[in-house]
Amino acid sequence: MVERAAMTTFWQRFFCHRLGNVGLVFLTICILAAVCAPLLTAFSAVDTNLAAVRQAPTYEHWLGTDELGRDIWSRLVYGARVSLLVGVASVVLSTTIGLGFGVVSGYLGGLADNILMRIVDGLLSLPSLVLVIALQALGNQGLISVVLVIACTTWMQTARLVRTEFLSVKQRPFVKAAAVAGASDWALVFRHTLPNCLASVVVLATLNVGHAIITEAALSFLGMGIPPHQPSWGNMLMGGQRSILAGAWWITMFPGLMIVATVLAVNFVGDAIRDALDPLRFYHGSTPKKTTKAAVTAGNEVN
Amino acid sequence: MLGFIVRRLLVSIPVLFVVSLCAFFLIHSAHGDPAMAMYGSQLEKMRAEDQARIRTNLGLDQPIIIQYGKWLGGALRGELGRSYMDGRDVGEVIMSRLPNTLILNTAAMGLMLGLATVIGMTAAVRQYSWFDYISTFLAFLFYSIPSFWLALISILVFSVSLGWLPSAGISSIGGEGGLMDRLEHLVLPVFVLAVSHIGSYIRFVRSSLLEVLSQDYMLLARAKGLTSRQIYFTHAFRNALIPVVTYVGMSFASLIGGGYLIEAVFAYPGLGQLTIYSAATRDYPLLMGAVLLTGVFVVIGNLLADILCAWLDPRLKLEGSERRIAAHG
Repeated sequence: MVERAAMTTFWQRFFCHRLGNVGLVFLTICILAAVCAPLLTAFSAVDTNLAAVRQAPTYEHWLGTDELGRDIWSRLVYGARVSLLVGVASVVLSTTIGLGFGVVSGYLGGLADNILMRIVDGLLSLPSLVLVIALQALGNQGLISVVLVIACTTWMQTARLVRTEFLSVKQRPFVKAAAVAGASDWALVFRHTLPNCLASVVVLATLNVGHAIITEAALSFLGMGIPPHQPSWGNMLMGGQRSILAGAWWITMFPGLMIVATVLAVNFVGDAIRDALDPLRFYHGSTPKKTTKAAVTAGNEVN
Repeated sequence: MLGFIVRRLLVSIPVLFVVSLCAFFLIHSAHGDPAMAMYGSQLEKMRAEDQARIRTNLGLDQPIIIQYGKWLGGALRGELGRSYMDGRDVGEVIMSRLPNTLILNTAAMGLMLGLATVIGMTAAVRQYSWFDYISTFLAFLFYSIPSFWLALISILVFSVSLGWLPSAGISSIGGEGGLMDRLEHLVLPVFVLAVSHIGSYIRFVRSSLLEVLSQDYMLLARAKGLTSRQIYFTHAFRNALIPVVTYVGMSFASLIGGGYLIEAVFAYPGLGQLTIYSAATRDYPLLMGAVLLTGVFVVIGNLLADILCAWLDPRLKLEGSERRIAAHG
């Protein structure tokens, strides 16, 4: 614990959050494992082996084999690549879209703002899962499509948040002072207003990574995501579903546990970032207003 | 109050319009047109004039705006077309599934809200106690568990290993479908759906009550000499629940969406299973109808939550809904 003095940096506050540290370490290990996948696996993640179908965990196959005899550990490690990639890529994309939409809406104001926000309302009235399924089932399947579809269905919450923040920051005295001092519109938006909106956007984006990982898994589980032969945690769950009634628990258990652990780690890191970004919350345990907002942004889950 | 409801209804109209646009254009932006979906590769073997006749019959030769207008006009009269797969009326198919989905979602939501309220409030009243820490951790955990995986694991444990509960459907095959039988089939889906959403609600109820407890009027109530019980039950709980109702309205869409996935895992014949099935088989009229109805559902849910909120908190009736949303992020 650092001393709770008035001057602490973002990182000092971040590393005070114990679960956040645990999450960060876990995610780092996951990323390293995904990158070094060939070094960590003895079996192919794709080749089937009909001589070793549905084997329970053994010394040879640490986590057992699936219904086509593929090593579950190998698929798990390679699957991490897909999940992490989808999680990060789709959130980068959706946050960019949301930022653009929110800034335009907040900047224009008036009728345009009203119309843009009604569009957001309408899109939010459809469960993101239903949008994702409809888009994905009818389009091309594959990794890029999954990223695009998830991004296209999750930017609305970011847009709404950015607009709300933008409107409130726009009213603050220092922005007005900048305007009086003759700052251009461009500078007002990108130099003075927008950077001050980013804190809560970063928190929401972190939480969205977990959401995106779960959505990818759900899509693949329904057979609408990553092509089935490619290792992905959702695909593994889809395969496992057929073996559940035969009692082969390991096929379903391990990928699911990986999803839970990864999403949990992401959420802990998000919580740590939120605490670190908000010194008031850090010193006093919680600032009620902020927790309310954070809880709302935490509500866009898929499960 | 009446003025508030009317104003709120008027706000719903553009939202519903966007929903209908989504349902239509989302599906019509798909590559391969409905004729393709209906006949598949057979279509290419047909003569050109037969292909043209099919497209005319389906109305595909008209501009897309006209097609949308016709579809929307039909939808407003309750005519959603016929399913490509079995030719049944889409409205009828949806209505036959609707009660199952309503039962599942109402039961799960009731259970979830009841549990989340009790747990979240206890955690807030005893802030920083072991109960608070454990419930906060559990909330995080439940929030991170994919609902469909939880469903699979619960089937594994309660249906396969223990054999206590059925794993799929809404009644036993060949059975009379008595009330007990129906209830048995509901237990797992309802519990899984409730638990998979409870995490964010526990956190929300907790922070909402903490916020109320930090208000000045709580201090006043204490200074007046009220007992803790009086303070909590007459002042704190009611006020803490108002944002929760708003939150229910706001997260209504994700509640419904989550239920759809659960329906698919448990082969529960509701709207969700229908949506996923119609998407997988590219049954456009059925999919459009299901998506539209889901949107209508969510809008109605939001509306009810807002009205309930205004009834609980008279301040809201005076403000626009915009302010309220802004206040809650």
